[in-house]
Amino acid sequence: MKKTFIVSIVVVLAGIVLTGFTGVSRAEEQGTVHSIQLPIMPFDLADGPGRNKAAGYCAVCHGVEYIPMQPKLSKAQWNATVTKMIKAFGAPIPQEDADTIVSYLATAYGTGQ
Amino acid sequence: MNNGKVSRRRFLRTVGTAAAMAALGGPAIEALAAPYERKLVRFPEKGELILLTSRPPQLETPLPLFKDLVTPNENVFVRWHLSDIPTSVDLAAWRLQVGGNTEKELQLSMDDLKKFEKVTFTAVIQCAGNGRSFFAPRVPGGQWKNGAMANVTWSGARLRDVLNAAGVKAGSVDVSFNGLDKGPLPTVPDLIKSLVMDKALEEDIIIAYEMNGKSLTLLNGFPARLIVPGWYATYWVKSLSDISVNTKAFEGFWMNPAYRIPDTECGCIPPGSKPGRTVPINRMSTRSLIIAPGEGEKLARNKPANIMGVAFSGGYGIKDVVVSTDGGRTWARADLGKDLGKYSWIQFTLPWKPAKAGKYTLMAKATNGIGDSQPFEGLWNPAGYLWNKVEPLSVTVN
Ligand code: HEC
Repeated sequence: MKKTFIVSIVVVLAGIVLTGFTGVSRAEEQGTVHSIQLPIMPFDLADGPGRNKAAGYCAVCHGVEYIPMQPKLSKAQWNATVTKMIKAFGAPIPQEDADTIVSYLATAYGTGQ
Repeated sequence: MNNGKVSRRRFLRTVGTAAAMAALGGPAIEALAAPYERKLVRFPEKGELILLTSRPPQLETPLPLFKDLVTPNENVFVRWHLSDIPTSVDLAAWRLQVGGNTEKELQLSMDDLKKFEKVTFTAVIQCAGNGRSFFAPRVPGGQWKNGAMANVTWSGARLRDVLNAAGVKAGSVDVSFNGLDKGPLPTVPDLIKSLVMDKALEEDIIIAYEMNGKSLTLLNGFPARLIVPGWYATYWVKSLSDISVNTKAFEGFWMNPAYRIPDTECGCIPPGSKPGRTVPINRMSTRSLIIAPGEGEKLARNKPANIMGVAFSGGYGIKDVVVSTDGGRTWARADLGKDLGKYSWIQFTLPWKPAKAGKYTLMAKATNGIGDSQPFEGLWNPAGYLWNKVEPLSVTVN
């Protein structure tokens, strides 16, 4: 678990560095170059079994705030969403971890059904 | 989870944050609060907008900012799909590639693009999922209220002129458009959109390099984006880099299965059901929105409290807007403001002086130039598109 979490931090940081997200919000014009620096806004997911797996895997492609932004979804809807991430977008999540994440999401961010 | 684990996690998070700060020269990192809330944030070249997501940025415009006939650049909503978005563009290096089934391959610099006839018009830009959070039953996706829209004066070169300069060859069926944004992993499908040939050659589709007379903000698609007036913004590809004329219909994830609506007259199906045939989303539904007074506002008896809002359609202009102050029992025709053309929104006003104290339910309903109007019940489809319900708004008069 600890290892997963450290891995996830590294992944998130790598994502941040690679995609040009930094801490301050500013724009710059230098010669012909137009640049902006995006603010970093990390989000804390709710506690619960499976949280660290969600925080790690679900932050690879986008901020984890995509999760709490959703209305309370049923377990079937969360399962469909996680399946979409894997099948349509190629999220590298082993089935066992995906199941853990779906259970976590259905409990922490779901209707409980 | 026991406390030991929680504190270890907090510790790791702090270490991670500190490492990020060290790596990036010590910028302030703003943490999002849990639980999730629609707080106001500032992103580069933007005013205070409502945060939906930060990576990639999705920012919504607060309703009171729609009091302007034309939305200032800093107030225009932000919506990216893929987190690897362009944060730096060098105009000396940027080229717009135009090719595929064409006589010539073009590599247009910004100067080249500006040599084409410059076309300017005002058009509403609206996310296909604007209003998604009002769907019942709720659907997953960006949980926008009504702020994923803006009314902007765009300037640029006609797509048709650019395509003609490249020389579209016989046998072309559609044109696809790609921008500088990329998926964070190679498995994430690139955001590429397409228009069938006839649509692509319409006169009013432009490659815009200015919004409201200034260059585009990076978050709205600097240096150039496609403008397909009257159609939802999913086609308005940002930070445009490639245009390809195709002999075989383009079929990417973002054309199918994404961004499709049920192939029914209303684009809707019974709430909670599954669609049969679907088609790519296209023209915007007719909408109106009361901007003032705001939801829950307290007004004074016998004082003028003009009801003001905006109305627009999918390129057919607005014929009239009616307003009700009694929950839809009676309606009065509102005054329409300055007409900036069929793609722009129009402001409407109904002078109102409530004589009695109490709760009032206000509503507005627009009809477009070809007679299409708005439903009283929210139409439903599984992706949360085409929201245009007549929305009741409550105010109290004391
Ligand atoms: C391989 C990249 C990738 C990974 C990993 C990933 N996502 Fe996504 N996610 C996306 C993309 C791309 C979108 C679509 C963005 C859009 O349409 O704007 C998305 C959108 C979403 C949405 C919005 C609803 C929707 O269906 O578009 C939710 C919720 C979501 N992701 C949750 C998750 C969760 C939970 C995880 C972890 C199990 C996860 N994501 C992991 C790429 C990914």
